[in-house]
Amino acid sequence: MSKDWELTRELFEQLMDWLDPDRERAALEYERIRNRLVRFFITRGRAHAEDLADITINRVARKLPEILGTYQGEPVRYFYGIAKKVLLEDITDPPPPPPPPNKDGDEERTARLDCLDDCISKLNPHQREMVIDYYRFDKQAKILARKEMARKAGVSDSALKLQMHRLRSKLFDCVTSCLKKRENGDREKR
Amino acid sequence: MDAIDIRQYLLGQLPDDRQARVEEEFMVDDGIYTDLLVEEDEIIDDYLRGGLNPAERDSFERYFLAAPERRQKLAIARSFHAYIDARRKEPVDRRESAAEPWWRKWFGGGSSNFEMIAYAPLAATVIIAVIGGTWMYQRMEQARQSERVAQEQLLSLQQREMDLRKQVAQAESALTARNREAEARQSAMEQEIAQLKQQPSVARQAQTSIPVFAILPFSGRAAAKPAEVKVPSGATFIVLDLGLEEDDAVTYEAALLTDTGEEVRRWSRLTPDRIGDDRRLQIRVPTTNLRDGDYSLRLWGVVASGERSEAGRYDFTCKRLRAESEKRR
Repeated sequence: MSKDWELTRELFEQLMDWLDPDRERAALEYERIRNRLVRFFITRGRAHAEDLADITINRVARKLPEILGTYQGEPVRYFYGIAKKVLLEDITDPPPPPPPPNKDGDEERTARLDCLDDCISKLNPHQREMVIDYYRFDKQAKILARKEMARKAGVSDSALKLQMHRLRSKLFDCVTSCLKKRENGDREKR
Repeated sequence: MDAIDIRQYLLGQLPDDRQARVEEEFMVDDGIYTDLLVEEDEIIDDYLRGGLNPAERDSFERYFLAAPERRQKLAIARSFHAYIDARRKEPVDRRESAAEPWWRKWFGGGSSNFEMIAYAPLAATVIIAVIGGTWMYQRMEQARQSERVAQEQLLSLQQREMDLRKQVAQAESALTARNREAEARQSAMEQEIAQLKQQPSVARQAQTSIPVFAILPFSGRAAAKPAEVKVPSGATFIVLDLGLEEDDAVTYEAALLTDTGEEVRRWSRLTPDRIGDDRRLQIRVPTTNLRDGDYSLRLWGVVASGERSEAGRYDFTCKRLRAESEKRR
């Protein structure tokens, strides 16, 4: 599915106004909605989740002049309604079945480990300690260790979980970015 | 909405209506959305640590991993866990101080006390199991040791019994052989006596005229002709009269051999006679032992200490004479 329709500056401004009169908050809301749309398409197994999220946003922006006077409710719910339609259209062209999860080559694995080393070394020592302590146990030991970790940090279990999720996401984003850079570097060499 | 709903949603295990509800909620609720992201991490970790049940594992591979972004995330998570595992397996962590108590190191070398608490129930169980196991092992080992000793004693006794049985069997066998030999000798003597009794005239003749043949020891000269022993018809015995060399022998042993080396008869404890300066030995030979042909009589002297040495060799040619009546036949 192509984006087939680009967002004009005027429609974009209109969309941002609809999200929030304050431009900064509108930008945050835009990102928030986009992230949820991406997660929705990923969970539904779509291959180009980010593109589908952008298509959804463009369609909402296009429909905006029609609904501005009539639609009542949180904008995100409208986005979700459009996203479901985009999903149905995209499902007519189903993605290929996923490859077996263990199939990746030595080169890719090595690249990932190199990137991971780089990214972990960019964390401060305290963050590194946290990551290792948080993920080092399994099963019952994991639960007990995390509870103790939260107690020591003076935060709730869920707050610690969130903190660790953010740290991990930061790490994984760093690895993804590193891998992309390597891939681009390889392409340029060729 | 709880973590189970979110987990089932992520694995594609919810019916459509509940699926839509979860989606609406995470669209509007930041908390639910965050829970969804955290649960994604948890599911990936559980998959990598083998913590998913078969149905979840199947859903994970067929549904959860359908999007390339998730597969990329799984690949990074796999490397991430490899990194964590490698750090976990480090024998003495670089992050630890040298003065760390031994028990900290024993429990895995972690830098914080989280792991101590995490391991505490496991450690207690292990210690109890080790102590109990050691006690049980020692008791079993003692019992096994006693059993081994008893078995060894039993085997030793069985071996001794077998040895004794063997000795008894050998003794019985030797005794039987001796008895048979004695019986055979007795039988032979009785036979001789009976023959003598049945042929009184022959016996008398033999008694009065047992032929005696004087034989000289073999000199080693090739030209020397062996003595000739002519056995008269009807003679039961002949006497070989052997001239002895000077020696210290007290008794003698003798063996009569054919020219092929076959032993015909053996004598022992023969005592010599002294006639003047000569020492002579007379051996009575049953004529049943003699055929026409060459014979050699070997002699050994036995001194007082029991030592035995060759004392001479006496060769002779035997010729059995036939009676006139036999010749006519």
